[in-house]
Amino acid sequence: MEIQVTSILLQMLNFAAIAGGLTFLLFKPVRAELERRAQRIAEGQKAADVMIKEREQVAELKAKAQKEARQEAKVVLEEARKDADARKATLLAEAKAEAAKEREKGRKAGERERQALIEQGTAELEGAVLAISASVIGANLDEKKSAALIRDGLKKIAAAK
Amino acid sequence: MHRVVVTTAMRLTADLREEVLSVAAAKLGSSEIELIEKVDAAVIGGIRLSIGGREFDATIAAQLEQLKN
Repeated sequence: MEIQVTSILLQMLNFAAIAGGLTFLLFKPVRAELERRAQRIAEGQKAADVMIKEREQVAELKAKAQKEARQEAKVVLEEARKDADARKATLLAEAKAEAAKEREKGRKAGERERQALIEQGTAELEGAVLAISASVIGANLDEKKSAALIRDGLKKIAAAK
Repeated sequence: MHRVVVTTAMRLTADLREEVLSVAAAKLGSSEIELIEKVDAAVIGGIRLSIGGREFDATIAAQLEQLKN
C-alpha cells in the first residue's frame, strides 16, 4: 500500500476546514447558549435565594407578629378580666345595697304595721276602758253624789278664767 | 238678757239652780240671765255650762275624754 502525502495533506486541509466551519457555525452558538443557560440558572438560583431569604424574613415577621398578638391578647384578656372582676364587685355591691335597702324597707313597713296595730289596739282598749269606767261611774252615782259632782264642777268653773 | 245653757246628767234641784245662776252671774257680770237646762245621761256626772259663747265643761265624760287623749 502506497502512502500519498498529497492525499493526506488534502485530508488534513479538509478536516481543518470542516473543524473551522463547525467551530464558527456551531460551537460558538452552542457555547453562547450554554452561557446564557448558565446565567439563567445562576439568576434563578439567585432569585430562589432571595425568595428563601424573603420567606425567612416573612416567617420571622409572622412569628414576631404572632408573639406581639399573643402578648396583646394576653394584655387585653387581663384587662377584660380586671374589668369583669371590677364589674362583678360593683354588681355585687349594688345587689347587697339593694338587698339591704329592701330589708330596711321591709323592716320599716313591718314596724309601721306593728305600730299601727299597737295604736289600734291601744285605742280600742282605751275606748273599752272608758266605756266600762263610764258605765261603772254612772251606775254608782246616786242623786247625792251627782249633786256633789255638780257642785265640784261649779267650783272649777267659777275658778276658771 | 244673757242665755246660759246648763247640761247635767240629773235634773237640777232648786239649790243647785241657784248656785248655777250665781256662778253664771259672776262670769257675765250681770244677773239678767235666761237659764236653759238640759239633761243628758251621756255626761255621766258633773256639769257643763255654756255662757256667752264660752263653754266650761266639768263633766265626768269630759274628764274621761281628757284621760283618753
